[in-house]
Formats: sequence, C-alpha cells, structure tokens
Amino acid sequence: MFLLVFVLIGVTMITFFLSQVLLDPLALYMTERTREDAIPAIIAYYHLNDPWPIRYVTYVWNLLQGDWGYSRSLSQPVLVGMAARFPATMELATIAIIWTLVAGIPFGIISALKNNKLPDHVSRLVALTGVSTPVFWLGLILQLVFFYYFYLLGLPHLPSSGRYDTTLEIKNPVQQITGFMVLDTLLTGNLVMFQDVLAHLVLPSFALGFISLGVIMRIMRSSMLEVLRQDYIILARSKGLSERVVIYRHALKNAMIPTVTIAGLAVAGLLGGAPLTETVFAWPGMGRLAVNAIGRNDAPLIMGFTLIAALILVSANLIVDILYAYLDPRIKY
Amino acid sequence: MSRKAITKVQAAIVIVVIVAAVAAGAYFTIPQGPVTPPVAPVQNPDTFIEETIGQPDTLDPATDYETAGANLIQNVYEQLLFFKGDKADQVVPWLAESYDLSPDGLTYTFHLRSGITFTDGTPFNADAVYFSIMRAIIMDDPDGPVWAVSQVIRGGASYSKQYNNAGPSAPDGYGDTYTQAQVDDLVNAKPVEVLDPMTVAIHLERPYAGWTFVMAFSVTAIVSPTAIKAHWTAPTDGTGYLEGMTAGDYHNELNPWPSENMVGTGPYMLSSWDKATQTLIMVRNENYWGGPDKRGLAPIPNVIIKGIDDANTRILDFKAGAADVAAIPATGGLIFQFVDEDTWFSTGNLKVLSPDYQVYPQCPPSQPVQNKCLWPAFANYFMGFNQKIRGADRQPQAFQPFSDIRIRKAFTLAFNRTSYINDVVQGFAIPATQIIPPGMFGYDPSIGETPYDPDTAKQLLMEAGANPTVPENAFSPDAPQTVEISYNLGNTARETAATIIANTVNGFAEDTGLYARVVGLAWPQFLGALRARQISVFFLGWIVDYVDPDDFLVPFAHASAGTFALRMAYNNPDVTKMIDEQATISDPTQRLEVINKLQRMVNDDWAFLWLTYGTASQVSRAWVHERAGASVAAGISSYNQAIYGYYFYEIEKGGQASTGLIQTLLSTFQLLPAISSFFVKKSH
Amino acid sequence: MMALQRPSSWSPAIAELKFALHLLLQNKVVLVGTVISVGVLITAAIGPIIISPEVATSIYLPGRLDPPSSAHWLGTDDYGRDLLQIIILSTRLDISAALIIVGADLLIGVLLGAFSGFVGGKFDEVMMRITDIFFSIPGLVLALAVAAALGRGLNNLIVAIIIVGWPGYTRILRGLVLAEKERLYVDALRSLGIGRFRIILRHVIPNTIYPVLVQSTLDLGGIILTFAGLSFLGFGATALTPELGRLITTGQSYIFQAPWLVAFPGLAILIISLAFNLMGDGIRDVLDPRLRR
Repeated sequence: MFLLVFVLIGVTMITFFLSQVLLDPLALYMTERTREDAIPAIIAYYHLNDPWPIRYVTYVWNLLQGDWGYSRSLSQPVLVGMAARFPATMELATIAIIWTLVAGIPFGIISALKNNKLPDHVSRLVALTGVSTPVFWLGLILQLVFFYYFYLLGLPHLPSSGRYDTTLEIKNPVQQITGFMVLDTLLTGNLVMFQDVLAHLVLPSFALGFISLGVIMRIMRSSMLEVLRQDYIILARSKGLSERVVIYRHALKNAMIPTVTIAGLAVAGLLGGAPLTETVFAWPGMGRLAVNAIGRNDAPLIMGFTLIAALILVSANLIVDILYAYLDPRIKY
Repeated sequence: MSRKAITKVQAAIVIVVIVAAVAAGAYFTIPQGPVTPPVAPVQNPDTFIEETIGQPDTLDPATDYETAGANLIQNVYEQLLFFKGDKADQVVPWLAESYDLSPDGLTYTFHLRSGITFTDGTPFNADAVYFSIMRAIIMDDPDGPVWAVSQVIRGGASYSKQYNNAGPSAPDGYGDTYTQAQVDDLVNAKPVEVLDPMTVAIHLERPYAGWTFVMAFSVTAIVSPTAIKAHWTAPTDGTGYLEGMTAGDYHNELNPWPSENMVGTGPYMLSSWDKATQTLIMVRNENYWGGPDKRGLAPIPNVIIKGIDDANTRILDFKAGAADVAAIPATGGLIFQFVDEDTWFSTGNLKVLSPDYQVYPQCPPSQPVQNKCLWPAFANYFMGFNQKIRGADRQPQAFQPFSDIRIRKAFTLAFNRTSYINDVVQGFAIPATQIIPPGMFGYDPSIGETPYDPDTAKQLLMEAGANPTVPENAFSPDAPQTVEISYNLGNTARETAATIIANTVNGFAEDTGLYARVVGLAWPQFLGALRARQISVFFLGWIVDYVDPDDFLVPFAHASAGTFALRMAYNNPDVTKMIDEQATISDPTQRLEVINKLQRMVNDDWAFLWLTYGTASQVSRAWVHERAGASVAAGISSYNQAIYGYYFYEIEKGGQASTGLIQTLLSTFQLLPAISSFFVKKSH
Repeated sequence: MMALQRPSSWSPAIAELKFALHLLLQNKVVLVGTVISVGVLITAAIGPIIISPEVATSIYLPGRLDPPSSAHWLGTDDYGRDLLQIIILSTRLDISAALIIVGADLLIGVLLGAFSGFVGGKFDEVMMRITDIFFSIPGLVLALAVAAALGRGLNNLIVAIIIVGWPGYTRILRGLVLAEKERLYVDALRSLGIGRFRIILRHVIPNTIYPVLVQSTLDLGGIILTFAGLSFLGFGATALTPELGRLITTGQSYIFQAPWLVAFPGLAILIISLAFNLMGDGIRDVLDPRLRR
C-alpha cells in the first residue's frame, strides 16, 4: 500500500514535470490579443513563477481535490471529460481481455499438451505475429476487409467506427446504468442496441486483443508445461488417475496462477494500445481524447490521461496480487 | 529439432502469406468501384442526418467563430435581421419587424416583432436584445466574432481595448481592466438602449454601412436571458459583471452552461450533445413563429449532426443512406464516387453517377464561377511571406529573405497552381489572382494568375543570393540558408501545397543555396507562432464575415489594421491610404476604380502567393430537397455564403425519391440532369 | 595484473558464446529470423545507394494513387512516388531509429542497473523506486505524453521512446549483478584494491550482459512498432520523409481508394518486427538453460 502511494507520487511528478516544465504553461493562457505587458500579470495570477516545489504541491493538492485542470480543447474540466469517456475505454479493454483469455487459455493448454506438435507451432507463430503486428495497421486492414469489401460484396458487414449507431440509439435509447453499453442494453432488455453495440465491438476488440492473445497463450503453455513436470502430477498419474482428472483438477489450477499475472500485465498493453486503436476506430474513449488533445496542445488533458492510465495499471496490479494470494495458498499478505 | 523448425518455418510463411493476401490481395480479387443498388426508398423520413468532421468548440453565439458551431447557432437562434435567399449581401428584417437609421447614421432603431417566445416559454423582447448584445461585448472573446460589434458600437472599442487577457477571473486590481467600473463605463455609454419593451436603439460611434450585416451575424443572436441567468453565478473576485454575464468569461470557464446548451427562438432546439461520440441532436421547435414569411414549423422533426472524422466512413454511411449529407473532402478524389470524373474535368459540370444522389449547383449556375459549375464561397486561400521574421527571442532575425521582392516573386513562381488544383483538390477550386474573390464587389477578372516558372524563380534566387539587398540576406551554395514554410497539421491540402513549393525550390537549391523546409505545427502552436510573427511563410484562408470589399482589403493589406499585413510586416503606405479612401467612396464606379488599382499594387509587391478561391458544391441523397420559395438558402440546392452549414428549416425529406426500375433506367440512359453531394465547405 | 585477470572473466563468456552460436545455427526458426533481420538491415543500409534518395522528393502529382502495376509494383502514393522505392527508403529511418533507441536504452539501463546492484543501499533503493514509477505507466502512454511535451519531430520522438525504455534493462541487470557480486572473483578483485567502477565496467557488466542483450533483440521488434505507432499519430516524420508509420497515416485517408498505401507499409513493419522477434525468441530459447534440456 505504501508502495502504491509512493508510485503515484512519482507518476504525478512525471506529469507535473512534463506539463509544467517542458510544456510552457504560459502558452495555455495566451491568446491572439495577449499584450506583452499583460504577461507578468498572467504569470503572477497563475503563480507560474512560484518555486517548483510549491507549484508541485499545489498541483497534487488540486488533483486530490478533483481539480485536474481545465481542458481548453474540450471546454470542460479534465475530469469531467475523462469520466465521460472512461466507460468506453474500459468496455473495449474488458471485452478484449475476455476474448483473449477465453481463446488464449485453451490454446495454451492444447499447445502444452501437444508440445512441439502442430498446435504448438501455430500458437507460437500466432504469439509472435501478435506481438509483431502494428495494431493501428491491423485495425485499418480489418476495416478494409470486414467493413468495406464485405460491403462491396453485399455481405453483412461490420461497423468500422464508433461505439454504437447513434441514429439507431435515438429510436432505442440506452439507459445509462453502468456505462458499459453491453451490460446496460442487456439489463434494460434493449436487444436492438445490444446487437448493435456488440457488432461495434468486434473489430476494435479483436485488433486490441490480438497482441495479448499470443502472450497469454505462451504463458499458459509454459506454466502448464512446468506444472506437468511437478512431482505431484507425476504422483497423481502414478496413482492411476485419469489424464482428464490429472489435467483439469490438478494441473490447471496451478498453471492458471502465472496467467493471471500476465492478464494483469496485459492491461498495460491494452491501455498502451488504446490511443492507437481508439484513433483508428473512432472509439469515443480516453485514448482518442488524449491523441486529439495533443493536436491542440491541451496539456492538462494529456497528463490527465497519463495519470488515469497509471492509476488503472497500478490497481490492476494490486488486483492481480490479491488474486494471486487467493489462487496460491502459499502466499499470504 | 529440425523437423519442428521446418514446420515452424512453413507455418510462418503461411501466416505471412495469409496476412498479405488478406491485406493486399483482396484489393485485386474484390470488385472495384461502387456497386449500384436500385434507387433506395427514403430512410429515416422524420430525421435529417448530417455527417461532418469534428464537433463545435462551443454553442455560445457570443464566442463561436467557427463553422461547426455556427451550423447549429443559425438553426436554434435568430437575429434581428437575417440574410435573404441565396444573397449574402442582402439582409431582411427577421426578429425585428422593421428598423430605421437616424439621419446622422449613428443610431439604428429596431421595432421588434411581438408574440415570439423562446423555447423556455419566456417572451422575446427588447430586454432580450439588450442582454444578448451586451453579453457578447462584455464577455469580449479576443478570438471570437465580437470584434464585429465592438469595433463600431458606442463604448465597445474603449471597453475592448482594456482587455488584458489574464483569464476569466482576472486578478482584481491589475491595471484597470475588466473591473466593475469598466463594465459600468460600457453600460453608461449606452451601446444598446431599450426604448420600450418592443423597441431597441443601437448607437454607433461612427456611421457604418456594414452594420446591418453585423445584426444578421451569429454574434448578435438573441438568447434567452432567463435561461442564461438561471445558470449563472456572479464572480466573487472583483471581476466586472452584469447579471448573467461575466466580463472576460470568453472560454465559458466560469459559466459553461451557454457553451453546451441553447435556448433561442429559432425553428429548432438543441436536444442533446454527446461530446464523446460527437453527436448533436436537434428537435423541431413546435411553437416556432414561422419566420417573417410565416412558413410554419420545420418539415423535419429531428436533425442529427454526427462528427465522424474518417471520410471513408462518412461516405459509406452516406451511400448506405444512413446519412442525408456527408462532408466529402475534395482531396483524393473521393467525390468521384458520386460525380462523373470525366464530365467534371472535360466540362466543369457536376453529373451524378446514380439517381440515389443529387448534386448542386447545376449549370447554368446562378453564380457562374469562371468555367466551373460551382458556388463561389467568398474565401481566399493564400500564402503570406513574412518580411520581418522574428526569432524565438521575439526579435527580428538577421536573415530576412522575404524583405527582398525577388525572393517573394521566386517563391510565387515556384508554385505549380494548375497541378495543385487539378491533381490535389481535383479541380474543386479556382485559381486565385487577387485579394477579393470572384462574385464579390471589387473582383477584377482581368487580373491573370501568376505563372509556374521555375526557371525564372531559380534565376531570381541566384540574383538575390549574389546581390542581396542587405549583406545579411546573402546566400550561396557555399553559405546556404533555409526558409521554413509552415502549415497547420491535419490540413492535407495545405501540406501538399507547401511541399510542392518547397520541392521546386529545393530542386535548384544546390545552385542557389536557398533551401526550403516544410514544417507542420499543431493549430495552437501555429497560431501562437503566427501571432509572434515567427513564421516565415504561412498558409491561411480568409472567409467572408460580411460581403463588403472592406472585409477582405483591410485584413490583407492595411498596414496598421490588417491582421495578415501585420503578421507579415507588409506595409505599403499608398495601399493603406487607398484602402481607407475606398471605404468612404459612395459611388460604386469610383470605388471600384480605386480597389482595382490598389489590388494591382499589392500584386506588384508580390506580397502574397494567391493559391485558390474557395468554392462550394453539395451532394445529397436524392430524397432530400429544399422547400420551394425558401426564405433563406438551405445549402442543398441553393447556397448563401453567409450561412455556415445548413438551414434545416427549409429542408424536406422524402416524396420525390424515384423507386421504379424503369425510372432508374430512364434517368440513367437519358442522362437526366444529374442529382448528388460533396462539398468543399467553408473550413479554416 | 589485467592480463591475468581478463581470461578469468572473459573465457567462460567466450565459451558460452560459442556454444550459443552452435545452438543458434541448429535452430532453423532463429536462422530464418536472423536471415530476414540481416536482409532487412542490409536493405536499410544500402537502400539509399540502390535507390536515389531523390526519389523521396520527386513529386509527380498526375501519377498519384496509381494502383500496383508492372511499372510500380506496389503502386504509387499521394505524391505520385513509387511505393516500393519509398518503403525501401523508409526501412532505413525506422530501423536506425530502433537501433538508436535500443542502444541508448542499453547504455542507460546497463550502467544504472549495474551500479544499482553493485553499490546497493540508498542508491539501489531509489533506482528501484524510479523504475517502479516508470513501470506503473503503460509504455506507449508515457511515450505519448513525453513526445507531446517535447513537441513534434523525429529526434524528439526518439528521445521520448528512449526515456520510456531503459528501466527494463536496469531491472534485469541489477538482479544479475546482485547474484554476480556474491561471487568469489569480485571479492578477490576488491581485495586487490581495484576500484568499484573498474570492477563494474570491466568485470561485472561483461559477465552479466548477455540476458540483457537477448532482451534487447526481443525488444527491437516492439520498439519498431512503438516508433511507427507514434509516427502514425503524427509525432515523427513530415510529409515527404520516408517513414513507414507516416506512410500509413497518409494511406489512412485513401484506404478504400488506394488500399495499397496502407497495406504494404504495414506489411513491411510486420515483416521487420516479426523477423527481429523470431531472432530474439530463438536466441532466448537457445540461451535459456532450462530449455536446453
């Protein structure tokens, strides 16, 4: 817990340094007609000449108060703008994680069981291709094929951008409950929008998850291999337990532990992939917001996104630690 | 080991091949070009869907100065006067029943229409007019449109001059700016005076013929004082205010409500704005008073404006009928999915490829533009040469290449305008030759465009380098110099234009010693550097505010009042004098003579590189049409340069969409007057 | 003294290297990866020789966005340049950027890691906390923020990615050094009065650097992706600069009319990155003692 606080302090130092030292904070308050002789007043008013430590403390104090700065490009406080886009980013990342786990774990098990046979080679190649594919390019190619070419061929085509069909939503309004549109549409029985939302998720979540898929497969494979070599598995086998029981009752649970860790780390990858994926798919999330903010030099917004990404990652790691303790009885906190 | 390895290699190759096949091969195997389904029946008959780029910065008419916001403001709010039909230079009384001008030309008295209410149920009256105009002046957005009011309204200029830009809650006691006393001074100057509940007088500091245009401009839109006051809190730090308006709160930081909400008298009301998905929804004002021509309620109950940043997505939505109009950029030839490319390049006419679409203007156009069938947009895209470049220290640098007319001329001759227009913007622009765009008073068709002449350009640069005007301006292959051409990132057309000039100059730089580098800057940085006079060569566009030559001549060439002239240190005293002079000439022939002469003088100075004039055309779904006898051009089949975006009130949907196969065949084979859209809309 | 010392610390390393090379040559995947990587490196190096760099600035607008043909195998881009030639020219920039980034990260990471592990104490504590901080921000997000703060431009982009990359190497090397410094020869060197810096630079780092080098080969692929990705978002190259991410940015506007503009540069990135990853993956397998069984 102490470490957590420490790390967050460090992260705020980085964002403070980037926004206050490298980016000229004065530029934020200058406009077309700013007179040279007004600059001292601006500096004085916003305390831009105070010593750094004081400005830093003010900065952190404001952050804690929920004042993350004002975004000129959004005409909104940073936190308000981020909050509006947080669910979209999280929903996309969650769906991406879910499908990569659902696909990655079984494939990992199969490639461990068929070690050095075809499934193993395929999984290895998928893994390597996954980490070698530029996610933004994959997104564009997916759009080209499943949206445009399918459209040209008169096939049912997947939507290429956005989170849902806004026109459709007007006739079938979605009631906000969790902010996750998949859940909200299901909870309110809005099946038309549920379908639409799912269809919009397919391409971006595939692109986003594709990188992590291979990683999860490989980790699952190697931890499964490791576990299968353990004495207790050999013992279980020698007791004459069926292979199914050995694998699913004994091996699997222990082999899952490292995978959980990796799933936590994959969150980092997904967050890193968010700016690119969201830009390509016009996904109304925080990543795209940050990219747009860069085009407009909106430092508070960029740093806000950096902070939120760090917060998410740190909490993901915390959750992983807790899960780890739960899964592995040897670890106690 | 080796068996395993070979399998892996094979699998690797298979995967790469599959990816390659999907990515690239698909292109060859899949049918190219648009497929033509039978003419589609109307979709979403009760909703008009516009797909465009981005979304507004703000919806507050006091501060909005870009087209995305104006698109909504013009449909939700109304002004005392408004434009007539497709005439950007004619205004008619709108919320005002009539108006008179005092003999001294200083006081406009507006007699307001009675019985009009805002959509919050409160009445429209003289207090609302007072509130709306005073609010814009007091908020005083330095980057906004309010200058049009402040420059000439009584007390406006002296209030605005005090501006110190220390943010919305300016520090109390700094200078004498934006204090209560100052706001009081403005109020006491009585720029706007309520004579009785239905009569308002507006006092000017000097006679100003353009004032009626200002009263039709969105900055003077009438907002509901009740709604705004209800969401307003008074500043507590000593900043001046009147109830409902805070001095200098131009970013709406203190009172964000009016930047995201609208309560007006117009035919539509804002229903919702989702900034995350860039979706704006307007619904019909069911109590609309009908406008001066009493044309009832808007025919289409709902309007959706979606910001979809990817042009391809917009186009496909448009093709699928999910959008009624979509912004189709001219660059890259996307437009030719809707209009026939050969016809366009051979005749300059727009002919649709499918009866599902319609395209306007159709020739003979009401406002022919040279030999192309397009609407003139009253916009001038140009490149300015900074004659006094400042460095990072804000001091003029030593090397001042553009103080030398030969170098300005060389850069101008290095631009292949014809290629740019035909290949980059696909012919959807007209070559620019002078400050004032065609279609406006003052345009001189006898001025020709500058040629593309790299040889002369090279020669001029050799001369300029060898025999510099001042020693600091010398350059040679042994002591080369570099010039930067800047554009704002994201603007592909500008980037391409900058690149092709730089490329020509660099083509002979080994002989001349002068290199050109293209620099892309994010918009705020671009603007910042521009203001600091740090940009050597910049790209900008100027779009008409009000249709008077003044609106072009002053910013471009007036040495002390001209935005661009100041930014590039262009100072020709004779030109400045003539600009001042022409504004006072009432006889059109005499005025034209002066304007023509001064424009030629500017060209002789080679101060600007004229790129293109803006144009507009509109592709829309065939099921959309403008109402007959529209009081204001809707932007579908007719166009008014002063209206940004669409005037949805005059748009209908459905009815005439052809459905039968025979009709389709007929329209295809008989080459009936084409119908379809795209637009080269006004964009900065 | 040095002449005596050197073999004792170097010879196991050389034997190790030989053994590794032997294993490496046996593994066909690594071989393929290595061959492609070397091919890519050669292409990058000689690209500007076989193709005149002037190609990058030869604008021919009437020939823009032409589809692939016998004249232009991969079609032309939006300035009418031959896409194949531009891609070949681009590999140079992308690959040299990646090499610079990895090189700089190795230098920073290895030095800090070695000192951190060897010196221990407060310095180590502080270094580890700093790496914790860097690890708590997703790499690309941090690179994005740094690049935004530094401003656009290729050099700034490279600096931004360097700043994000070093802590990984620091961590790995520190762990190895912690184990290494317990070994007898270190004590022996110390007792001979050899300074800390010399021990670290001359003995400890050479003995511990291999895993870090392997990791850096593995990272090359990822760094190429990050670089191209941020360039795609508009951070790096300007209009005519041949760079793969930038080519895709341009291509995005024309994706349905001229899909080759997106497809081929992306494919080039994929192939380059895959080759480095295959090579790195194989090298790691070969050097991982557990997998030698």
